[in-house]
Amino acid sequence: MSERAAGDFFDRLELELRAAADRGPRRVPRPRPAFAVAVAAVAVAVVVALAVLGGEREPRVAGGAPGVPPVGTVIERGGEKHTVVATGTSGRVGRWQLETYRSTRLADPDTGEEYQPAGLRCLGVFSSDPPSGRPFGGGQCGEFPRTPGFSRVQHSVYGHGGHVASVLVFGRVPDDASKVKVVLRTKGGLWKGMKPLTGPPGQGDFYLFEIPPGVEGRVNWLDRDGNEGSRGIELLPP
Amino acid sequence: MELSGNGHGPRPADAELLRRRDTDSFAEFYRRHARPLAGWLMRVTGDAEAAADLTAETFAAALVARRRYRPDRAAPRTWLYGIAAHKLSDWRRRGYAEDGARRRAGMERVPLSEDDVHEFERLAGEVTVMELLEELPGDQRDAVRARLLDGREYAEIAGAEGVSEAAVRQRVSRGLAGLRRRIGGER
Repeated sequence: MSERAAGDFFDRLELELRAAADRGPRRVPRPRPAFAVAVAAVAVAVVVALAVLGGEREPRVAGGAPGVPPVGTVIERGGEKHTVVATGTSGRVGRWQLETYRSTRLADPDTGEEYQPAGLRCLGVFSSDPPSGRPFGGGQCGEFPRTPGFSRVQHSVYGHGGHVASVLVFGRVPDDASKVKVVLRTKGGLWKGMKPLTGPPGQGDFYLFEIPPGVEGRVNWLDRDGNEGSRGIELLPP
Repeated sequence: MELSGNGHGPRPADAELLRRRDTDSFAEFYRRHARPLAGWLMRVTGDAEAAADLTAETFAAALVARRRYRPDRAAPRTWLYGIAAHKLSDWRRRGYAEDGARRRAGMERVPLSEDDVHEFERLAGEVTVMELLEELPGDQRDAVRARLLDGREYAEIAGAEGVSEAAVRQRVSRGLAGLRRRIGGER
């Protein structure tokens, strides 16, 4: 906010604040609820597959990861009820668990404009004691209308120094899926697959891959004949 | 007015900076508090990217909301950390830092360099009692703030919170004990 040269983070933020103060507040278009639902997509419950790219151990379900609640456990998180639908462990991320829950209403505090309705199905990944010592958690609410029963959520996991250490890709899998695969566009290509993991009754099946940061790719499910079950979903760009 | 430390005369208090509407005043308020706040956020999140985003979001929200600041309700620093605590709570619940205030203010996201990350890690080690206060359970934090920072009477706090005066005294006592433990390095 000064004539100082923009040097470190604080100087650059100061310049942004100064510019904002000079021009005053402005309305920024927010995604419409329907758009948010369709694009944000997400789903539910569990499974795992893990680790694929760095020698991580195979994810485990139904209480397979020590120190995390068994699959089917209902816990309270932030005042909301979450159901643990899969658990697992990987070398980079440590113990993790997939949880389903329902969305809360999100609205602009000033205008009241709603950009996420309450009650959407949500799927998130959480870890309370990763190797980095930095607990993480996050998920997404909504559906993927173009790939019924199949969804893709991504969550970046930060390591020491504040840099992204790896990316978790997870989601819901249709009942008739025999496998979930992710194809990464790395040098020479990289294909990883896993069997869907079964969640608690009524919750369906799930998957989770841990991939390195900064790579592009596509995830899809395979039927019992090995055919691709949907058009697939692109990973979010790095 | 507070006295400046450089011998160039008095400098405006934080509340005065928020009351004024000019850009330079808010910039001065920012410069006074940005690094300590960022250090606290780094300490509690352990994540430089998150701490940076939360710092930006907090000051963007403060910029937009400064017209609504009420000096009779809370000290400026308490008010600022209250905003940050709210953003932090959202971050913990959602797993990512909101950017609503930043977008409303038309601000770009400020990326971190490697040096910035190191600076955030250094600032995290400079945490002050004020920052430690934010780590207390909510009821204790609010009680300590109201009694010791805002100077309100026990009976007044009790009335506002809908609890007994004894309960407020207990919260203040436990909050201070918690601060002592944290200053001593315990959690």
